[in-house]
Amino acid sequence: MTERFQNVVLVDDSDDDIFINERYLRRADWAERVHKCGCATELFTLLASLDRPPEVVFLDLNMPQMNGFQVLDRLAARPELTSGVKVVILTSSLHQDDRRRAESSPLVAAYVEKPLSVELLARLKREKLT
Amino acid sequence: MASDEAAGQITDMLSDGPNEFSALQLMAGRYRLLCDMALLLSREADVERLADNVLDKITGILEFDRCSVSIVEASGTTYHLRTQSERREGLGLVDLAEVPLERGIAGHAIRNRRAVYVPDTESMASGMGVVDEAMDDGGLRAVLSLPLAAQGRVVGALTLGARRPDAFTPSDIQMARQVASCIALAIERERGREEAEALDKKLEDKAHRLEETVERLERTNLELDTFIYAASHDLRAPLLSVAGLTDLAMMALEGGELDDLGEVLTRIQRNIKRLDQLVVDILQVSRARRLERRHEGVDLRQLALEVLESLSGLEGASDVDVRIEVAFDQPVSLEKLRVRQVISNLISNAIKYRDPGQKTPWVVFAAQLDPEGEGLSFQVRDNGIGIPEDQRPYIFDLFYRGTKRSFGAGLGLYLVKQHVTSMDGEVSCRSEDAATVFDVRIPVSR
Repeated sequence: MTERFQNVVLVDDSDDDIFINERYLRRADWAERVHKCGCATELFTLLASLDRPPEVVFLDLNMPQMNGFQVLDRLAARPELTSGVKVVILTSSLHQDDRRRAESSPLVAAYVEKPLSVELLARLKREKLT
Repeated sequence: MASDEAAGQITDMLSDGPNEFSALQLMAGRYRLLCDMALLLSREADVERLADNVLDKITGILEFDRCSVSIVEASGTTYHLRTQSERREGLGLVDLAEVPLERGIAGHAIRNRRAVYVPDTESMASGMGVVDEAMDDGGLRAVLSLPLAAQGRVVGALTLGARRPDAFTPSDIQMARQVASCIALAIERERGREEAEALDKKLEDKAHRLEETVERLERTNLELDTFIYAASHDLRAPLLSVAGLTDLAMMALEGGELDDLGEVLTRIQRNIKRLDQLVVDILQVSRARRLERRHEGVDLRQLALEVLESLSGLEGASDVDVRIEVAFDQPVSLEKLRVRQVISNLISNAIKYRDPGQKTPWVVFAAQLDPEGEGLSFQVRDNGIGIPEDQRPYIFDLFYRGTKRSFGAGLGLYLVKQHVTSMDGEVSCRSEDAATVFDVRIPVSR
């Protein structure tokens, strides 16, 4: 049995997607604690409040006010908050440009198309996140 | 043909013997001048300058006291006169005068397409206005007018007058015919050129309009591409959510976890409703583009009340106090459907984005007419959650959704802008004393 992560963050402006992804994480027995953020501001507030950086952040690309790419830039500028963090882009975008752009960031460990599934989460853990 | 006639005349003269030599010289001189004139006419483009130059040359070719070149108007009912006065006193040109075709000897020649020669005006029956005003100096006795005909069209007349009767010999008349023929051809050529130029201009205008059409089509294409890009994403997102939720529902069923099931199904329902609304909104956008411009007299206060009535079922509508303040009574000529949708979208937005922390959320619809009556202004004010200043430039964009809380497809304000723009108006958003205000201004015709 693989170890659980301590802190995993879900960042998505869609209430329903947060609901769905949290359920999947629970079923896949992924993390001790799953944190939910509806926008970039909530993410940064959360990161500041944790004693140590989360291991995994699931990040949506298409968000109003600040999109996923902008968040990646901000995160890269705050290494103290993000050391060791692996970002998984979780998006409904079909554009290959988005994939290329995301994977060019050193913070990004995987680029996954919605929806999640239990199998996908298992594979992610095995291949990308340990 | 001219050279044949010339040859004929010269032969006749030669057969008359040596005392006709000077006459021959004179004839040669005239023909030389005729050639010069023809050459000149073949080069000169401006019809008015043409007439001047021709009159100049004719002076040498023929003996006369008054000469005029008349040109028929394009409408075909009047002709312009250009007269040269006393040959010996130098060239004096009279301003163009318009004369109806029924009058004057030139008019006669033009209408009947035939040369007219009056050897002595005094022997003509009185009351027959023979000579045109410009030609008439009271002293002309012999008057000759030849139509200027080319390609079967009569484009004017050449008129010569002399102070002595019987001034024009058959030889003179022959010469005059040659001159007339040259002038006629030149005018025809010039007319042809003018027509060609007019055609050129028409083609240019047409090409210009086509270019504008192409640009408009390209813009529309781009808008369409953008729209499809945005719409496909916005259609996909709720579908993916439903896929995930359905998956969870299956898992919940299998695991017997029924309390979760309830919430999952509710969320599925909400997403489906959202999808449906999106499709409806997309259709509205498409319809808005194709809406024909139809103006009718609108009672704005009545329209606003109708909109309120239609919004009464909206969630939260009963919590909001909506006031109508239309400052005028008279009907205004407007595109009713568009204005209705603008007002409806703005007021429904104001209701949706009310501040839950407010004790008395309110919305005010106020309208005023310009004093001159050429413009209508209206505002929708609300004390709701407001729009942050940095977002204001984007709020009218396609599918723009401000905050996580915003529901709806984000097409409402886009539609507002589309409608207002197609009515040649302007819409903008600002904040004023903790209230959000949308200003709309539309030009109206009287």
